[in-house]
Amino acid sequence: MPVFTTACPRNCYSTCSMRVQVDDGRIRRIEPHPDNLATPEGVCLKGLSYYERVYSPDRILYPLLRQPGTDQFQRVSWEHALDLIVQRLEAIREETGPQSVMYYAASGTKGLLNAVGIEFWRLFGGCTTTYGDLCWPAGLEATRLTLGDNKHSAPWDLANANLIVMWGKNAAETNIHQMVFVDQALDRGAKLVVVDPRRTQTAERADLLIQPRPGTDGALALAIARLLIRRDLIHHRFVDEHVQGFAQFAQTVQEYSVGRVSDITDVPVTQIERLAEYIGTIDPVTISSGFGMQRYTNSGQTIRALLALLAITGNIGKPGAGWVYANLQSHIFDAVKDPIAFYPPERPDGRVRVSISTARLGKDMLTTRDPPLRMIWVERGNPVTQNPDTNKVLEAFRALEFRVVVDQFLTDTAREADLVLPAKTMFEQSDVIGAYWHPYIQLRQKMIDPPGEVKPESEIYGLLARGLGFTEQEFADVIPGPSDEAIEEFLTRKLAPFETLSLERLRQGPVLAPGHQEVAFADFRFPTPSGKIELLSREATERWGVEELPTYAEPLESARRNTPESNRHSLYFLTPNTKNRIHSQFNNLEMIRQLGDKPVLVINPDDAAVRKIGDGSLVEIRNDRGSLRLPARLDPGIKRSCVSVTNGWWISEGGTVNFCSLGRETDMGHGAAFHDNLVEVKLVADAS
Amino acid sequence: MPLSFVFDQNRCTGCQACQLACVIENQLAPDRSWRKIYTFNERHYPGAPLFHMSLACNHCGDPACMVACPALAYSRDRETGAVLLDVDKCIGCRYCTWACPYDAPKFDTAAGVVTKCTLCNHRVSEGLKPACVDLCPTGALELADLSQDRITNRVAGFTATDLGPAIKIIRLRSDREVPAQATALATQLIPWSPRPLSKVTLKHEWPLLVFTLVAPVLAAMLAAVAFAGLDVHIAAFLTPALAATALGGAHLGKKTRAWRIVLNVADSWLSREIVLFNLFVVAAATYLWLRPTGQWLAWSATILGFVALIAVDTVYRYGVKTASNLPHSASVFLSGLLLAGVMGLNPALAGTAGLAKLALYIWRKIELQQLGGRGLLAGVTRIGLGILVPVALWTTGSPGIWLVVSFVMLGELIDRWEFYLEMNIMTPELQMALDLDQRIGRLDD
Repeated sequence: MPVFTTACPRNCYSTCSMRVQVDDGRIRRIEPHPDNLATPEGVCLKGLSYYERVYSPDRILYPLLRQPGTDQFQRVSWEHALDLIVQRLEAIREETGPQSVMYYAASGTKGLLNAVGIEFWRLFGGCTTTYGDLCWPAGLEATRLTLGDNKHSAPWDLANANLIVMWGKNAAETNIHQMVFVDQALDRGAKLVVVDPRRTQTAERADLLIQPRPGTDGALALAIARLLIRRDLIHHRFVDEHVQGFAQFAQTVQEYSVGRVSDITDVPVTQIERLAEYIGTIDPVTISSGFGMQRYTNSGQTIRALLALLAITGNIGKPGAGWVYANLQSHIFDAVKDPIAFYPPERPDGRVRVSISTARLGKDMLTTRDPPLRMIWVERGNPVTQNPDTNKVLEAFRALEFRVVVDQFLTDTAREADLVLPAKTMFEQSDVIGAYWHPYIQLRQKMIDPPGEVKPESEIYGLLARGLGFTEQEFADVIPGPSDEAIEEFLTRKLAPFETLSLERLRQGPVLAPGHQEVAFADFRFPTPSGKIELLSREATERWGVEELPTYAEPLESARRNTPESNRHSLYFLTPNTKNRIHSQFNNLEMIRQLGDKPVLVINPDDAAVRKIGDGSLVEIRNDRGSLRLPARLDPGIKRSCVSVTNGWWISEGGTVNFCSLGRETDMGHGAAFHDNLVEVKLVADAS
Repeated sequence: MPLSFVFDQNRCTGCQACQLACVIENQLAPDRSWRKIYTFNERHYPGAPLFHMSLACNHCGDPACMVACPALAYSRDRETGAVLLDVDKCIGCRYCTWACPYDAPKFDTAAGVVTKCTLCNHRVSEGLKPACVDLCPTGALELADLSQDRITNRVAGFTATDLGPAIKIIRLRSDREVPAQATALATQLIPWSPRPLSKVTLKHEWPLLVFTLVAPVLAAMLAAVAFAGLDVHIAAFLTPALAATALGGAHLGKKTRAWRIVLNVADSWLSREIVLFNLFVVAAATYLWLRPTGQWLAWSATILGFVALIAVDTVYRYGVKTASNLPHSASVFLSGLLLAGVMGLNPALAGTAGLAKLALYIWRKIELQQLGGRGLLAGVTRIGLGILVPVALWTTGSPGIWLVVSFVMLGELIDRWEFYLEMNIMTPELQMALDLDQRIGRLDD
């Protein structure tokens, strides 16, 4: 049985290397690839479920056209589907201009061939598209402003840490392979602190679990910084040599006394002092932060405050220490690195209009003029479920004349489409991918032919270009031909500048990114304006209008703001990820569904009691944006005044959490502050 | 070289990749994995840790499944020590699923047979590890030769047995026994987690209920014929006997292999029950047909009948018992004695057996704390219809013996019905729930 090396291209830390056994043209076994030192033991349950995903009876195998006025789709030929699209595109380009077409692509799959999409739209004459990102820009920007670059030490370096602070990260579910290195450190006697409003699976390993009020982590960090400074637990030599703005920072944190911050964060003084003592006296310290915490309106400043803790204690640039947030060392193919790539261009090029904030997708689409939007093309994404303010996104979608969605399954977004085009899986076209946790470049290898009439997106674009009257010569440079050889030639060209990279080498296994630093910043070179770690950043103020130093401001949706809005709603709505899905992917598979995970509202028994909510009661979660109804699940592990529903459920499965979120940007980076989200929960019916 | 799974509770995150690894390797339906993750304290009760247990078959040294199997479908691989089930020999009686406290044998409704973990014998014999071990992303599962160093401590969710389970569980580090969460609750904690559903349900097992009601009637009938001169037509005996046998056979997943059920008389109480019951039916029918003048055949048949009833009771020995471990009031042996007393018009026998049943019944109700609500209703009905009414009928005249028997049987039906509802085969899930109760001091609801 042939065995192929490949890698999982999902938007996930682990980006596992895999060895896939193919039996008679069918995937038979999925195993880990031992050469990836970050994921050598095993792929996760989602990776294993590709065994079903590729062959799922629900997979879309043919172009589907909506029957006008119904929810029913009918199979149509590619010829017919392409004709329909070409007619629409030509008419729209003629009538209101190409920018009436919106191109929306998200993070559903990684790969260099993804770039073909925007090239096609450029060829077409232009389009409108988004800036910003749902995932992580505030943290990326805060890190860039502070350290100059988004990179961290190799995942396995975590085993050298003596203190690990999992700050808002539940690695046991979202980055399971990181737990191997956590365990190695803990076996050596290291301490683990988890900061999370939920008692997570990761917290079960922790020496200390701190459960702050959501959105107040910045205050917590500043109080710890103040304690470290007062008790002189500062690494003075490191600060003198590598840190910019320490004196001013030390001045600013005077405002954040433990007592005051205990009140702000709703964390006992003793816990704040204990974490300060750990950070100040244990060496080395790694802080591994998740992405959820930086989806608040104050979160860029939060992340800068966290980074300051490492900077003032000298926990940057040495083994076992550092800031584990995003390791973009494998992003070697990008002309412009994230987060800069997320920002709208300073000078518009007149063709591709980058004017829609991803965070405000629905609202911005609806208010776009000159020209207004008339058609959308969606690929690698499920914005109806995953973008903030689902009702607005639906409204914006329904206001369009024509919607094309490319997907493997009839997601909530695909169900809104007029035309659904079948998408390939990772096993059906080769591509090269990086990662954002480990530093490997990997080949996502083609090993089976696409089933049914599935065509990879690059091939669809080639056919459309031809349909629009372009000659092969006109687009050959940007859209590769459909053959495997053409794809490999495309990839070979991308790999050419890098001596250690070739398709042949990548077929054997993952390859460390050229120039990768095993211990990030070990050279103490910080590509900031001052060349130092910047606690004080002028750019922060110039670009984003925040203070030059990290400070704490109450999030916009806070039960303590005492605005009319916050008085109406008193519960913080947490919408974390689960081990069972990557956002809205995987749950439609029987292998995942049968595990029994269902959409439920997790609520603290105290909060439930005052609302007369019992376990299993049907409740309504509501605010001015929208509502959803789910069974309640009483759980003393969640902090009082917080409720949570895992994100990614489809509307057809019980409802997306984004019915309640608001499209709003983070304080920096054009991220989505959709975790800034207060709701009220009401009993609808007792458990039957 | 007997091999053991080694499971480290400190490494497992409950990701369930092992479950899916098993599904893929053994090409099972996604929900039929031979391995399962069980979670202790899923609801995060303060003061108790949350941890997982990954269990498949423990390939016991003294496997209860193999002993229970009436069809000799189980065997052991000498090389690896794996306990294997031959699906071509399995008759689908599901008795092994009652016998195993680790829920390793799983009944496949579609195929009509039980399937179970093979220790990935096909991989192990090629020098590979079982798929679950190979694909655990955190290294929580291993396979090792540990003939001496197996499970030593009692671990929550793992039923201690003398079956010699080939597994070593590395317990949660002691410093993780107390969770790091500090905040206390204002409201009193009322445990919400429902008890896991019983593996034995009346919906599936009603033919067995019918069988266990009919068997004591038949034995009692013959006793009354042999010792009290009751006149019974052969048809009145054979019709229920054959019907009960047919129902029992129809209950099997593989009816055409029903004959295999008698193969394991040496070890399996199910084989013994079937053999004894059939010998009894043959002997009794022969007597009722030929009516020989000597009584030895009637006596022998009666003895066979009551020994068969003991076998029936023994077959049902799996399941959660009350603390006092007394026989269940629905014991078919006692039912046989009671009915024999009634049919043979022997008040001493009927009274003794009836009083024993009544005492056991009330004692159980107290122990299970079913003294209110539906439990009370069932109890009153059971005692009223099944004991008081027959006593009244019998003492106030001669309404006909079969009317008394009918009322007794109504009582027996309720008792037996409750027996099946109460029957709770031990599973890791149930063990987890019981252990959690003990840990957090469950307030009984």
